[in-house]
Amino acid sequence: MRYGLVVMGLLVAMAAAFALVIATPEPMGASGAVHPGIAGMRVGGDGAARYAPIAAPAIALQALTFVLVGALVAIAPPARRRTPAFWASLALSVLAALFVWWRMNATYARFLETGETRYLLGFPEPTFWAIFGVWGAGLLLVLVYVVGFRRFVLPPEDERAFAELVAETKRAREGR
Amino acid sequence: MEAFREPIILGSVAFYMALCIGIGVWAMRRTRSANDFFVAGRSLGPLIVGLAVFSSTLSGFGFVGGPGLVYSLGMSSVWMVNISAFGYAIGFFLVAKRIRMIAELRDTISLPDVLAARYDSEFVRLLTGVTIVLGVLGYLATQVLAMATVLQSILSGTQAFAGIDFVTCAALSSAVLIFYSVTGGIIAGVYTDVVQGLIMMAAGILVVVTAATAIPAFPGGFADATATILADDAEAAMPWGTVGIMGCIAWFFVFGIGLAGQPHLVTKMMMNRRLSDNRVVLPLAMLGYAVAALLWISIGVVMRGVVVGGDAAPLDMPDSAAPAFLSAFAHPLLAGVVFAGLFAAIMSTADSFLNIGAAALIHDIPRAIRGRSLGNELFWARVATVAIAVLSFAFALYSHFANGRLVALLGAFGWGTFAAALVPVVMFGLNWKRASRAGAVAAILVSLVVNFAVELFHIALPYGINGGYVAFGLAMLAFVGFSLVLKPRPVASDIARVMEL
Repeated sequence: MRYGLVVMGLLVAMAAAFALVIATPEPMGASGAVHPGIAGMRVGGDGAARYAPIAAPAIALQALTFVLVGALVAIAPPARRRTPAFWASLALSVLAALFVWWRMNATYARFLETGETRYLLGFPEPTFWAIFGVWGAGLLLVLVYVVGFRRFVLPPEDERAFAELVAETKRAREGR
Repeated sequence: MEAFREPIILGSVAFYMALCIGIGVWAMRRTRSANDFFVAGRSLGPLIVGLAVFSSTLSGFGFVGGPGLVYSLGMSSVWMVNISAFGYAIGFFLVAKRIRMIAELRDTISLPDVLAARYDSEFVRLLTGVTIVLGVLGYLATQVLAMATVLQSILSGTQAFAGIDFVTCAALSSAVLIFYSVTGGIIAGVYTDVVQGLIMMAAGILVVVTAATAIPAFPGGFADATATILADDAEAAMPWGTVGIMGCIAWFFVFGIGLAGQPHLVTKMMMNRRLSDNRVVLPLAMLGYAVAALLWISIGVVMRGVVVGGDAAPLDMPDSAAPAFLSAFAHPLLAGVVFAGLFAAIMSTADSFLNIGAAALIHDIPRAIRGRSLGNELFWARVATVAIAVLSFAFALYSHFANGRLVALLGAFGWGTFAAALVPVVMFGLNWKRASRAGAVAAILVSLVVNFAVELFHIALPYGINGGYVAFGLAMLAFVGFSLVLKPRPVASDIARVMEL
């Protein structure tokens, strides 16, 4: 019940942030416009004009999405496997994603103000965070799975318990 | 070498297709039952499952539609790719272990089988089966369009086939796909996936090296290309691309969290030999996807850069970005490998869809309606595979000629349908004992109504928000809400024990 309420709370908070975005009058070209010179291509146009009015609720919405990812993964192991180490590694993954999200928005806002950006691995810095930062934050979650596999995901005793369950089910089926 | 470009590319593609047909014939001898046809007898090793999982994720949607999206929309579609690590991690944490356990306990061959067992409901089985058939038609149409686009761009460049039309190309490539999917079922599917996955990884690496080092207009590599894009339209090079922040957030949700409910992927999670193989399968799938997806971004960035920089003529259509890149910049040998890789990406997903669609038609839906599946399932599985392929072929041509839809956008609709309808039902169902049958039914119905209403009535959501996002969010709210409000029903004892592990 408590878990359901936490997820429901997150979903409702996300819905509220989404409603705030939708309620904001859409500026011209909010989702791009046709490229003036090249058919089949679109342009984003005035970044500040379309970002500023919805930045706060949109940033909150994505931050809540990262927290939701953590909340979803949290119920994967049975309660007895949710050790402090599991919670710590899960929290670290979510915090890393939030850090990346903050860096992306901060460097993008700075670009909108100054018109200047650094290039990292061939991409403007905000885009670098979008490509490599977001992927890297997800990679942490993959590492938690791989490194913690025998502790949180499938400890040997659970594997044995499953083998017993399969054997029991087979016996029951044959005896029927 | 340049003089042999055409024969090399044609030879590579012909060799690849012959290999698929050969695997189909080989697999036919190993396919003796419906269980073999649909889940390969749960006997596959981690390398095969890992490559099959990633190669069926990255389809024609990614290899053909993806570069087209970057060309057309700038960096927006990065948000369909950068989610891969999150998406796979969520899928493996929440689905992989328990779906495999239930598959072994209940001897299930499809996702609707598993969900019917979890919710003890034939109605949930029926709804899931119908959802799969609907989503499969949309997604398979994407693959048919992508195959035809690539084949036409190859053949029309040769003297012998210069005037070949789109429909013939769609028919030719579909014939190969149907042949090996019908003869060898999922065994042919997963073994071709292995070949296809390896080709896709090689293609991804070779393309990124070419894009970073061998484009005359961009001696400084990607930095030059992105700077050119930025000078033309700064937003196109920034993280939200031309679509804007909300469109990207929506894609992150649908493609990231949505990965956990894609039936063609989670079905593969039922096929591994040992539960502990998942520890290897996850990093392998994620790494393979990451390497192959480099192609998506690299080609898109270079093609948008050369066109806005005035170094190349605009493309006739965005979906030609990958073929145009290969024709203009790739060494003939590389072009041969990557063209084969394009087909590999498309077919590896298409065969999975044919398989789960056939399972839904001849196993799940009849079982839900009359209590048992069709007799001689293996025969009917083959018939259903052909029927679904033909229907998707017709839908693809209709979509192409009457609607003019981009490959990737049609793919996004198919993906969104699965994500919104199935993710809450699968993800919560396998992990949360309070997850209820009423919640599952409500989530599937809400998602289908919203997703199809947005699509059929051409409802344009503000800020570039994808209809699948709204459908997915509402489906999750409906699922959790119903499950919280209604008194939970007891879960079958064996399933309850699985949920304790």
